Amino acid sequence: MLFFLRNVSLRHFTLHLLRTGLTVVGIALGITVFVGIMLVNDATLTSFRQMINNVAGRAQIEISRGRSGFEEAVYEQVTQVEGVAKATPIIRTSAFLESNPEDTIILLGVDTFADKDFRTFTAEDDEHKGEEIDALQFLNSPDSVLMTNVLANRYGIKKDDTINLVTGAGLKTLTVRAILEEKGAAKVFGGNLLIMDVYSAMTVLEREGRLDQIDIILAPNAGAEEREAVVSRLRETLGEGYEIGYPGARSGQVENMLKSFQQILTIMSALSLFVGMFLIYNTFSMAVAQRRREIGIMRALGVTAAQIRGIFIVEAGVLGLIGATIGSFSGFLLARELTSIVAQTISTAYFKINIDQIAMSPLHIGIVIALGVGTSVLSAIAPARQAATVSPLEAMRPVAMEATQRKAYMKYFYMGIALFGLQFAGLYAQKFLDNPFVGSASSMLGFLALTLLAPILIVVAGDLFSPVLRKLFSVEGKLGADNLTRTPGRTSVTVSALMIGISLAVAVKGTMLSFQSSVLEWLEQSVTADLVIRSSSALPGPDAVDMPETLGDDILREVDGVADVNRFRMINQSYGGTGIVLYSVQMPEYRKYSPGIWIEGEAEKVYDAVTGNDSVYVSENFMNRFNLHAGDKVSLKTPTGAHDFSIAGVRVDYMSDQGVIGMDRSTFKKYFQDNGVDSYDVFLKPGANIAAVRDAITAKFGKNYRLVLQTNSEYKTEVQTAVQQAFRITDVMYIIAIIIAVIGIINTLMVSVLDRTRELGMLRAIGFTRRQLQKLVMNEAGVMGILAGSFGVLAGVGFTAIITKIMLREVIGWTTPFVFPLESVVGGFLLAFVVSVLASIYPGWKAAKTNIISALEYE
Amino acid sequence: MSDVMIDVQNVTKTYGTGAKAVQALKGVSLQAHKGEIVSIMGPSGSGKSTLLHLLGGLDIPTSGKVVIEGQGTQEMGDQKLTLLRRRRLGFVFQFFNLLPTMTVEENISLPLVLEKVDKATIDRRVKELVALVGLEHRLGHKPEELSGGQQQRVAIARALANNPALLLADEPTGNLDSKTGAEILRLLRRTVEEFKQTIVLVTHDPKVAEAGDRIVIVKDGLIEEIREASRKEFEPA
Repeated sequence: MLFFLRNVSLRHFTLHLLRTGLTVVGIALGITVFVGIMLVNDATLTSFRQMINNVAGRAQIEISRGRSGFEEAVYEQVTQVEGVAKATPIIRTSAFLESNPEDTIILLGVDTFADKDFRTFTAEDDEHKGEEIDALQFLNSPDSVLMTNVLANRYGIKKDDTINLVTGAGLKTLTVRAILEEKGAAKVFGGNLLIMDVYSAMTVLEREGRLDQIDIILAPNAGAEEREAVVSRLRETLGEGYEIGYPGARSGQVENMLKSFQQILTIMSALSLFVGMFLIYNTFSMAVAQRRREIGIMRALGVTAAQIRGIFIVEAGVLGLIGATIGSFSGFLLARELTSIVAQTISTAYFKINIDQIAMSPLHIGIVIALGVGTSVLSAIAPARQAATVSPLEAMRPVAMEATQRKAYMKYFYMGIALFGLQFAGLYAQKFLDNPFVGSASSMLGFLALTLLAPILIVVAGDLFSPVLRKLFSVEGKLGADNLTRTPGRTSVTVSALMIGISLAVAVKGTMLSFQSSVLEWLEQSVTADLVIRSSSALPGPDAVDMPETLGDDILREVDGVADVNRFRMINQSYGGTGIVLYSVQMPEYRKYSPGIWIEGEAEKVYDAVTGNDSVYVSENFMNRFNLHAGDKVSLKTPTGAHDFSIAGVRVDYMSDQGVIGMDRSTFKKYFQDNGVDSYDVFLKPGANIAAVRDAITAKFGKNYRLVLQTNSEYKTEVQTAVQQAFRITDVMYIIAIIIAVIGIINTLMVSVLDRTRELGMLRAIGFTRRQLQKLVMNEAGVMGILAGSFGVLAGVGFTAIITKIMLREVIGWTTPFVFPLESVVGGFLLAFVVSVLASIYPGWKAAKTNIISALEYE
Repeated sequence: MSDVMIDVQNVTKTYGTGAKAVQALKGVSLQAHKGEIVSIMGPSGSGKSTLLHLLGGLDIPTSGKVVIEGQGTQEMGDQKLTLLRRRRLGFVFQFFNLLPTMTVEENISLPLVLEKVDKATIDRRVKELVALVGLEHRLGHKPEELSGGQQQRVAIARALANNPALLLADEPTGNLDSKTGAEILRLLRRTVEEFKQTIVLVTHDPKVAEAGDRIVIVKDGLIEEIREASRKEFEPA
């Protein structure tokens, strides 16, 4: 086989350098996307696990209690529990620099003595370079903070500078006593971290006597059993309402949360690989067609059919290997580019994260090589088998001009129809199987079905376009359309590849559109405030900076034109192995302005039920995910212990892809003992001037709390931008899929031109100009583009419907109404047409350059 | 205007440069007249095909002149040569070279369509031509449905579509059996009677060469001999 590889395959590779190169690029691009997404997904989880480990340090047990924390006295109690060797108190809050409200910083209050056993903070010091200097020793006065070198470099802050920090307790001026080296605990939250003495933090944050967390180290040699025993002793001592857990366990919950997001990315990256497979199949089909004579000669000389098959399989393997090698490298680079987009998306949708290290392990490389070689070989099997059927007689036959071949493409047509049936069966079965992969596998079947239908559709379309193009572009138009129908198999694979790329683009845009319209409708019904007030510009969420509860009363009392104020509070609640969102609003005010979109229950009755009672309403995806409906009870762990709440209604809510629970503020305060406010909704009196109210609030309270005031439409625009942001990563994928498809078109047209060299020479001889030949190839490409565009937008619209109607429901639990993506349908169609015509430029130029004499002597 | 159709003046043609250079024609002069059939005969590698390419405006000489209807080809650019081929020349090839996706009618009308001739004229002309080559009942057929001889008749009809002044035939019978070949040659003679065009017929077959009025024998890039042909066997029936 090595003999054939060296003396046959390699020569063909170099003989058709452009085609070989383009094919390798195609494989490499498919692999690139796949590798990029795989690495980013892995890096996301690794970064998160590392962040948890870095924060936890050497802690073995963590105690916490909601967002409100607990009494300082608990710390004393914990140290007395048998088996607790060391314990350290912690305060944790969000804040931001007055100069940079968009950059949320975590302020950690730690015990300057006790914390040393848990975490190491090393100061940067010019005098003692390289030595580890315990930075906590610098926290000797109440206004002292330690700053990470990441923050210090970002904002040009030096040791002994003062900073203006906006906290839940207002604006505070603090002094940076030391800059922390970027290692250990100082690396968490992407370095967006300030360290303070825990007791100073209590004073500064006006949280006297309250803690957020206690970290515990057990006696050396304590095993898992001992740890379990300590946890149950702690439960006994502290009573209900405390979360007592192991730092590692928290990452499991996060992995659950990210699962669907990562699944969607993986499915999309697999589609790029799928398009790459079309390209390989196409390249090898053409190679077999062009090498028939050579294969015939080899067969006549005694090479077996199995050896012929082997030659092509090995060739595919070699191209796959080269493609995968390049793809791993470029995938690594792509992953580095994607990290910031993914991190931003996750930070908007889930929690703040910095993905810092993209790592490629030997396992990754193994997967990629196997995948590259595997998909390549798999795609080449059919062409290789075809090559093996070439008879030795082919060697003797003169190569005449290829005649129209309309083989029995009906066979494929029926197979395509059958696959469509299978797809719909799969989509239907998915309802009962509750497995998102059935849905994505069904979508792939749909693409495959269209590919099988393509040859017959191309023949029909060729016949249809031929007279039209004859009218529009004279004879070169007609010839262009006719050429497609001469090799429907080859054309259909090319068209299908572009079709998939286009349908991906349409589906991504379509899904975004329908999702965006549902979100808008939901906001219309839920966010009705004239002004939304937040501290810092981050969207409301658990990382938002607290505002005092009294601010609402102050606004109501001191600002003219304000009719109502509502307090919004949101926490991350762990439920059913994942993290859902729980929020509270003042129902009596809320119901006046927010009708909501209800799936179960009527607005008035639900609001009646939840006001001041142990009742909640849940979101549609919560209902679907946990199969809980109106009338059922949901048990929630609260700082005051586990409590049952009855579900009064189910409504549309897109606040979290994991599930949302809403309750009255009075109920929330009672059970969660949390009186913080994330945002204020301000409703104006009729006729009040919104600008005047905004100015008055800013003038009276803005300075101290660095308030961000947004009008209703500003707020909605921001949410819309966040939705678009979440879809940005998918843009990268369909763009690459389309590039791979364009490579396929160039390949196909090149071969189409080479195959017809003699015909082109004849056309030149009887008077075709160079321009006319170029136009001929361009027409051929144009028809391909029109076909790929029409099938692509058709498949794209279908795919959008499947995603919005079935996959989103299955994966996230949302039902979004299907919105016809008119803009992307038109855009996708035009895109297909334009890229096809552009792809024809080089092959067209080649055709125009045909040397008449040598073309006429061609074999 | 004299009746000289083609005037080849001391033409040489060299392919390649330096040590690899091959001189295909080493100084050839030849004239062909209106309504004359000139057979160019010679073994393969003699330079006869090169000569045909130069006459067909597919290539230009290295030195000397090829003058077609008073115009030297070496002065024309690609565009002018293309138009010359389209308007004044017709080609018949050994392998017919019909477009497989087009019907007989479409193949024949191709040169007229390129010239943007109106539909009615095209129809009339195609009718004339198929009557001439005897394929009236095959208009809607594709080339693959025709025999070799029929395909060559279509090719001849196509070559004549634009009323060319010069028809170039490169081994037109090379792919046909001798009986069909003889029919094709008779057909070519008949078209000369009808349209008075000049035909240059290239062949390596001495019997086929006799179908011309004069036979030019080419060997090693030079004209070895020019003599009258017998013609008898190929008089139109």
